[in-house]
Amino acid sequence: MALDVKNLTIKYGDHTVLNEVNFNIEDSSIIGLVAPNGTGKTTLFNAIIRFIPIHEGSITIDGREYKNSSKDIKELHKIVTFFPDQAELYEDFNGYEHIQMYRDIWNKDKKDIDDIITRLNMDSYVKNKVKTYSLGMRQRLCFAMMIAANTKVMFMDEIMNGLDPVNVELVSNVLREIKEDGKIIIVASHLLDNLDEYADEIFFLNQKDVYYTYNREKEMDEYIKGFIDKEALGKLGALPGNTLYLNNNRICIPTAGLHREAVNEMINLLRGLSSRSVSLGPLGTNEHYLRIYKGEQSYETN
Amino acid sequence: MRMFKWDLLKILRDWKVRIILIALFLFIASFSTLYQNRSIELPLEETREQYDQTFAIFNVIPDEDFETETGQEIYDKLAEQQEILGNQRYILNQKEGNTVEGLEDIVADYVEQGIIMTEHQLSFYEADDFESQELLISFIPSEEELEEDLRFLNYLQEENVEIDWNPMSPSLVLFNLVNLISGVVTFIIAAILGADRFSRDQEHHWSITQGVPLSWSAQWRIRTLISWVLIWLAVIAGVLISYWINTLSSDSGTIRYPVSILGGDNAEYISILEYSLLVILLSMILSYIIVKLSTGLSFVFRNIYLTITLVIVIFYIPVILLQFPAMAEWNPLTYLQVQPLISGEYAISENISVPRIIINFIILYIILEIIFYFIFKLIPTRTGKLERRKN
Repeated sequence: MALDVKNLTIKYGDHTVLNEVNFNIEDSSIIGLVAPNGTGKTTLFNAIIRFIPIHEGSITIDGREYKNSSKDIKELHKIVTFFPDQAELYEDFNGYEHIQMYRDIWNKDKKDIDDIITRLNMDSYVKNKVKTYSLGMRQRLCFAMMIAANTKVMFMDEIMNGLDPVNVELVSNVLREIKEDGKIIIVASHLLDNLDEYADEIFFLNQKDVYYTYNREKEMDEYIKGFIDKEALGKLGALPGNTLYLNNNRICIPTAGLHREAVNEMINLLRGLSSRSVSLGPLGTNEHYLRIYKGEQSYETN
Repeated sequence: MRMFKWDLLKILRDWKVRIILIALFLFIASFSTLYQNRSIELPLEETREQYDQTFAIFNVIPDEDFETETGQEIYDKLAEQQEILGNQRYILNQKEGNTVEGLEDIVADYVEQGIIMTEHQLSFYEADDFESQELLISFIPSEEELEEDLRFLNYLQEENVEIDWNPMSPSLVLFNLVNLISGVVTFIIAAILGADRFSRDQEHHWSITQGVPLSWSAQWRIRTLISWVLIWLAVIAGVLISYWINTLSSDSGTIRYPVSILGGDNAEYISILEYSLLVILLSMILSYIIVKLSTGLSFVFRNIYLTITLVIVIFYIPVILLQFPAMAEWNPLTYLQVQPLISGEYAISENISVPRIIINFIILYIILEIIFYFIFKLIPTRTGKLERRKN
């Protein structure tokens, strides 16, 4: 038991945003938090770190419940950090000072920040004033600040915003490295395919709760995945139940209950009709997302 | 202290703070040279008036009243007074102070002459057997005023200090400067410097400054201390420079020159040096409370103009409270204006003492701590509200 959230309820006035949310996250985990805009991702972060009032529920980290007392909240803030908004950096400070500041505030053992700077390829600009930074440079700086704070629980909200593919890969790799220190990292991101590269589990928020969790290590159900025009769907014959037809003509056909020959036959058929590659494997975050939140043309067979 | 360095850097890199502190320093440092009346004002008119009054006394009191033993004594004292005033009037008329050739010994010591005249006038109040006593004392200041004058003159004599006619003398400029600093100037600077210490972070750096593992009250104290130290570094440096500039341009005056503090039975004379140290010390304590209030209010309101206005309104609370003296004496808010309290301008000054002022400052500090103990339990949300923690 590491981070345990029980019956967490958040309301804005009479409007309930999150209702009795429950989950448990083990140490050394990266959790992807996925939901459409305005569903409550940031609210969930803000509630756990107590930046907003919570109406009901408890937050327990390593067996200790952090209640609504100033002392508990101060203790909670020693072990939980929240990803800074790149627009809220101090423009007259340089990047090095920002990282030093987070290190000084959270990390008493004076972690060497030069290693962080080098690892994130920030040496060339870190001593310049933040007001000279591009969006991607700022985003990397915010990430470096979190690494320097080095807390047990890290909330990374929209961490990949403004990063180019190379830096997305860099940040993903660093996330994988730091989780090995027993950290709990929750990442809210809309780069769904990227989440599959480093997240151990994905939480889908829906209907004011963690609606669905998906662990790619444990996902056993296989699907035949390809792309097919809607008009050509009939050529596939009768589709098995729970077949997904998602945005961008993406089709996911469950193999459960099908014989090996039937699976091969379906793959070959789809390959002939599909404009792009066909693969066999479990659903990814992207497919689950489209399934759960129903893209414009998504539907599921009965 | 892990936040101190970063809060200090945040303040020092704020251009508004830099400009205010530099302006404050320049204003105080140049106070003597730019804002003071340079002309020496000798009390010629006052001496002329006193001379004429003494002359009039001789004319209105019947000659036979001076025939008695007491009458003769009073006559001699009046005559001596008239002689002194006549000489002073002549010397001052030459506009050369004590330097009139050949008369140095006559007017060598205004202090001693002042003591003689004041003692004479005080003795008139005891001459009950003098027939025209009532008429006589109607021409001279009240007994209380004379006693205060005598205390002043005795202080000068004991300390071997001469009367300073020069308003530009370093000590008198220092006196005026200290009074200025202890007044609304400190309130305004404290209000401005504290007014966005929290609100700026809440508005522009919310995600960076929330969730710091340090209580809001601790951050409040750190930010208050930094602003307060910066204000007083600028003020004290300005005062020292101002005094130094004055000593370059004027050689008269002494820092041991007396000023009256408090009032009534509590009234006493202390040197300008002691006065300056006392008023600056009290202003430092009071200004700490004001910066603390202003900084605390910036946690509540994100509008700096509202915070500044509220703090300055608080400065004028004593004026309202003094309309009800009975309540004012026991109300700590009455003690928010140091200079009029110390210099005896307020009626309640007669009944107070310096320790009592300090005790009231401590009470104000405790009240502030209690109020903000509850305020800091609230959560400053990104939307600018303060919300109660519910669970």
